[in-house]
Amino acid sequence: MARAAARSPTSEDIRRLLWQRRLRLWWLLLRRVLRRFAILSGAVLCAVLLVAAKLDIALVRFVQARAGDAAALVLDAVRLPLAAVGRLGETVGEIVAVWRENRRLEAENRRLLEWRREAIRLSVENQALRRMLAMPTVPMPMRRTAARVVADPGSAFAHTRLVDAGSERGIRVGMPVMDDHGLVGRVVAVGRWSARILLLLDSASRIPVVVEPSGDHAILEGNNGPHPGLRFLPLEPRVEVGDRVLTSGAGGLFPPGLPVGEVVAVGERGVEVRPYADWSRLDHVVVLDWRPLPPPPADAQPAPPVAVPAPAAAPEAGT
Amino acid sequence: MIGARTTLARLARRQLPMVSALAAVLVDLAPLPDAAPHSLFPLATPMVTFHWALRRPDLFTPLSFLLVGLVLDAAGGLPLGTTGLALLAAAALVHGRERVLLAQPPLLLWGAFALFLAVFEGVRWSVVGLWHGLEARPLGPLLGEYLITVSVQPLMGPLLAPLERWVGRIRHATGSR
Repeated sequence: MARAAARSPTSEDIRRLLWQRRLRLWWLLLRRVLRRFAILSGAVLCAVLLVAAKLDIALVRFVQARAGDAAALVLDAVRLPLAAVGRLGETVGEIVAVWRENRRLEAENRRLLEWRREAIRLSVENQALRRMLAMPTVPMPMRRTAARVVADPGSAFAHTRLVDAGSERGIRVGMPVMDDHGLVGRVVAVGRWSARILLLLDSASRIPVVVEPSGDHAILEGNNGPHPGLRFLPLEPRVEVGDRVLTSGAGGLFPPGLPVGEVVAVGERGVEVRPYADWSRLDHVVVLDWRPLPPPPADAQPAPPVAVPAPAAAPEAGT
Repeated sequence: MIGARTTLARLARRQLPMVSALAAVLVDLAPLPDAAPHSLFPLATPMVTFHWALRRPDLFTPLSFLLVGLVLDAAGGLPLGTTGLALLAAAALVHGRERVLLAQPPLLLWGAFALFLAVFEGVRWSVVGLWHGLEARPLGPLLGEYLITVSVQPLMGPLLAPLERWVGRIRHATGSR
């Protein structure tokens, strides 16, 4: 009775069954090929991802920004025990170094007191001169956002830091980043809760600077080492060891006058600068709310010459 | 109930190689105290992946290499695919040769890691150089990082040995031992 009730398969059922079998066979074949050539398949996928990233596809950027957000959350939790261990070692080291440091500071303090007197005198003179010239003071006041460093790629390839402030706190690409001592770098990528900072030591970093007191303009170029170099100096530069390096504000990338570092070597290998930023204690940074000037439109043309009316002939003296 | 719990525990233990590799990624990413950007630190990720690729190739497959590489790139800000490609290229050296390598004396195994790391660093260096428009990246920091990682690598075995025992009996993809 039951056998009679069983429906005999229709041609549609058989076709569906055949398709299912075929799909299963293809899937098994694909799995076998992927397993056998797993490394090659992975390498091809990586190459595709690299090309997509190079083409700056929005999806890749989105994934990287979200990954940065996730890493910031996780590393924030991991950071505390690591920092505690580090502080312990730091304390031991500090006790050893404190006596030597104290003597050095005493000597430095004496020198600084002399400099302070000189600085006050120059400041008073400067203000008086500015009043006479009616010049605005630089740098301009800017909104500052404090952020904590939560990740470090830890490789010889990329000198970047991940901080726990993102677009939700008003961080945007291009903003300069400083610590207590000087310029650290600039924001190169922003997620919702995190941002990536390109340190000025990275070989991809280029910062327009000016050397004081000579006033020579140059580009501070990172070299992945501790002392970035100055490039594109004037033909006869007047740079000496100990000169201060500040942002020049050229190109509108950075505000002018941010302290960058000090010249530590001038020689055959070029001019080397030691940044003021304290890399060993880069726990917190300040992001300055500076909007880099937008680049000019690609089709921008120089303004056509304006016809200037010839000046009226000056009346002859005595006429 | 007990059977289900045992199965779950076994499944969790089998994830340990991947979990420890991801922990190594975190260690590589964590901002270490007193760490100047130009300071060199051993890379934990290649050490851990090399360890598991030899000891548990059944649990640490090329897909694991790819995932670890992608996570490191995505969180570390490197071009997505760089570390994945480098790890896979290095994995190709040991893939299928696990038993031969494990039968070698420790010094030769160390040499194998030095080669593994050389391929890893070489591929990363080349890809990052290509990424920046055929610009040669400085070799000094790279060599320092390489030497320090190779010199620290023998410590990784004893560190991961308890995990290895916890994961369970050594079972190679090529057959159990």
